[in-house]
Amino acid sequence: MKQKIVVALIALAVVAFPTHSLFAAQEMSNEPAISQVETRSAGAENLVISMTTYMKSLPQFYVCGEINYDVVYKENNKIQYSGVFDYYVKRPGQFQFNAKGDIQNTQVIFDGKSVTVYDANKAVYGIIETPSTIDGTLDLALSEYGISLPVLDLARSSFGDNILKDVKKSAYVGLSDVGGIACHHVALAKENLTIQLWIEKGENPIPRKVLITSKSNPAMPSWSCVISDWTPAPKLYDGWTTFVPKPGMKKIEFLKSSDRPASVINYGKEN
Amino acid sequence: MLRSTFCKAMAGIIMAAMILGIGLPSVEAAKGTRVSAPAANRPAQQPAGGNANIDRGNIDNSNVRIGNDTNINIDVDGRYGYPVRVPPAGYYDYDHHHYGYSDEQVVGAFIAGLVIGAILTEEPANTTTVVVKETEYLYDGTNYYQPVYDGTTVVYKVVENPT
Repeated sequence: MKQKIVVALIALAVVAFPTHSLFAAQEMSNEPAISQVETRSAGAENLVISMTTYMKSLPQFYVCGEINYDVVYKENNKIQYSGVFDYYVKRPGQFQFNAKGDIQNTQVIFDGKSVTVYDANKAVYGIIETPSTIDGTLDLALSEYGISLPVLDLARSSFGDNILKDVKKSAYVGLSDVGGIACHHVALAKENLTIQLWIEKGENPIPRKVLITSKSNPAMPSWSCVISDWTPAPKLYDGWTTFVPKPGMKKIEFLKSSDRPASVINYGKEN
Repeated sequence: MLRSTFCKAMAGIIMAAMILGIGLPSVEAAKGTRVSAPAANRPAQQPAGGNANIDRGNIDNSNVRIGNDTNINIDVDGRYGYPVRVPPAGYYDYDHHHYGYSDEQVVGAFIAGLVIGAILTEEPANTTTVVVKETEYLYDGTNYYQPVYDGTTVVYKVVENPT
């Protein structure tokens, strides 16, 4: 475990700092170095491509697991919040996402024509008309309505392209167990963030774990997701993306991007 | 709770932007005003129609794979149910940290009326429900608020008197 932590720290040094930082880390630890010192690792990035190619090849899938993410408060104090999720996808145009945790209890359903967002804590739901494809729907949901749930991106056909876009450095860290599953640990560094992926070794290269860290915020908040369970063949029956409001639920509208406020009065959250 | 939901929304936006490799939308560049008043923790009780365990409809989880090749029957809803939590109020140090307005202006706005289009990230206190043309509003004696989604977070938009 300790050895693993040291190797992980070396990986962070590689993706976050110039090459001389790698040498400094090696001198201190005497641990095995990352497998290469080039700025970008074709092997590591090919693993990402293999992962996304595999995900795109699945006509449907189900994943579930846990999400942890930091919220930065004043003086760069961080609080980590958690939640569990499950996500059902059937291409080309259906999904159901459920998440429950410290803050939200939310369901997002896409039936090929519209997206319904249901807040179970407040018993309200909203509906937006969307394109027929998952990609088009997620693009619209983000750009027009601010619906941004990173796990949903697992179903994007451009998932891998977005991960590799503008990568400055990449590295293959080594093999690592995630929940007892052997995974390839890959580190990618962009200008303002790092992405670490744990990709299942073998015939089913799904992302078992994702860790994203912001470098632009001095507190360096992170978002992580661990996929504990999955199947390429969820049993989905007619109506699985049909949202039927129950008595007492109320329909509300969405703010559009053009309606968003100019200034913020928000107590406690760091700038 | 309101702080939490707003922060969650911001975290989601930030992380989605990270993954997508796009720039974050500039809050300051848009119009309107977002207001988050200090408030109590999230409500402990579900409102009418609330459903702590979300209905997944016609889905059978019996063949979910754990590890590489194990078929089990997961009790999806049974995994949930741990209590909600927020950090102690002192951790926020929220008395003097806000954007755009001074404390006095905030207090004055709540007394004299908020700017139409302003957004509260937490549910305003001491309101009654007013229904106009099948749309539900909250009224605190000064302002009318319309619950709306900002992404997947419910916020409260200050609107004209709808009656």
